[in-house]
Amino acid sequence: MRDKAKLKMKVNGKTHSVEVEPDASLLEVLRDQLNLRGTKKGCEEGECGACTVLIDGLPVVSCLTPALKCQGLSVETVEGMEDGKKLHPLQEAFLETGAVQCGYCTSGMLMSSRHLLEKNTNPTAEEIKIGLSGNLCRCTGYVQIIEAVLSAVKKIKESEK
Amino acid sequence: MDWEAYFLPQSLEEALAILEEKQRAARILAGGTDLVLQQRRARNKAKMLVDISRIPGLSQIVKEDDLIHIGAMCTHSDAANSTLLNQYLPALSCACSQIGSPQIRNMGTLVGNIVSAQPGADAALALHAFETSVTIAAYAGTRQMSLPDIYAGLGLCCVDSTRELITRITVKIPGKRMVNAFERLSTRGTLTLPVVNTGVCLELHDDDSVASSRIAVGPVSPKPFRAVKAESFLVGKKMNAEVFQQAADMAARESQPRDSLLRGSRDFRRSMVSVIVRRALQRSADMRLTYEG
Ligand code: FES
Ligand code: FES
Repeated sequence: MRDKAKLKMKVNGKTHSVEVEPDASLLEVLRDQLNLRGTKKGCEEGECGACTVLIDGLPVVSCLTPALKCQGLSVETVEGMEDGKKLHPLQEAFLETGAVQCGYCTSGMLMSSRHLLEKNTNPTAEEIKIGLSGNLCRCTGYVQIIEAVLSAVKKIKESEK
Repeated sequence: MDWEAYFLPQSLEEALAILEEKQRAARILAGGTDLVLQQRRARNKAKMLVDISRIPGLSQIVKEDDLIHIGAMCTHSDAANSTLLNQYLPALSCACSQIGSPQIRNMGTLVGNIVSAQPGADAALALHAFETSVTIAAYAGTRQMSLPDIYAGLGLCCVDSTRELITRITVKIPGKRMVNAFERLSTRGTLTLPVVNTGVCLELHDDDSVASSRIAVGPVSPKPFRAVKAESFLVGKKMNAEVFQQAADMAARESQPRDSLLRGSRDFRRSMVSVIVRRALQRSADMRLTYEG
């Protein structure tokens, strides 16, 4: 007896209207209905951060977010990071420093880093660690990820010169 | 996850009317970090959810005379970044800044932390270091309840989210000469339950002797616990390291932590109570000095 519900939300700047199950998570709708598979499903318990997206600019775990909570809101996913064909400086830096191994944590790391740099254009390594503390990586040991964020900061500064 | 309908009421009246109409089949949802997990794990499943995030005015933190009101949609991030809380209730903003992870703090609310009624919940524990009450709105009307009374047992809250909701938390700011601090011990910095945690608040006389004190410790009993012996020991004493150590040892003796696979053995946790209570008292005292300096 469950009716599907209409969900209207902005994803990466574009308005989408989808019919969703009333109990679908944002993660499921993004991946399975909007075909945005960059956002990963890890633990589905809010513990790993692989599913991190921004809602109205704030990082949240999409696995614990009911999709219908996003009614009328604006969601950003990793697919929205590149500008046309050009990667975001954070994405470039992740590639160059070897911050991507299996890649499962990467999109979540990128979303948390992106939010961090929007709040703080010149973070210290310590501030980066705090900003990324809700994202687990079982491969890199984190060193390269912190390097990548620091290197992206440099890239962004240089591009603004 | 298993719910059949999801409502986004635009006003409190509308939310309460839905609860009333659905006759206990609908449940209030705020941040969702606890409830969505519960729904998946088939514990207390609700058939319908009533999301209160669109009700205007619920995420505010405001001061009214010696009271601070914290709205039902105020998240842990909102609290951690609040200048009001950092100024008057640093124990609370500090506790909120250590909950879960950044993402969880952007979602979860202080009220949710109370309603989940876990004895170690950092925000709720910190609130026990103050005189705290909540406003509960139901279809039939509104009532107030003091924070300790709201716990019905481990994980049980007197507020029934299928009938009513907490609209705000109200904390009384202790007198002008007051200091407070929060401490937590955990195995990692993020995404861990506390081994033990504490919130302390001291009101001071003009000569810096203690006029009154509150020491809340968790999770050492089914409900949030106050170390009343240590509290009364401190009254009338001048603040110094030795007095703090004695009070902390008393707090450890009166706490009853249990052996826990996640949190550590009873003996270990009890000795850690002494460590964190001493640190929290010391940090409050240091804060006093910075205020004056
Ligand atoms: S999949 Fe959402 S936090 Fe792990
Ligand atoms: S690269 Fe494999 S989990 Fe981070």
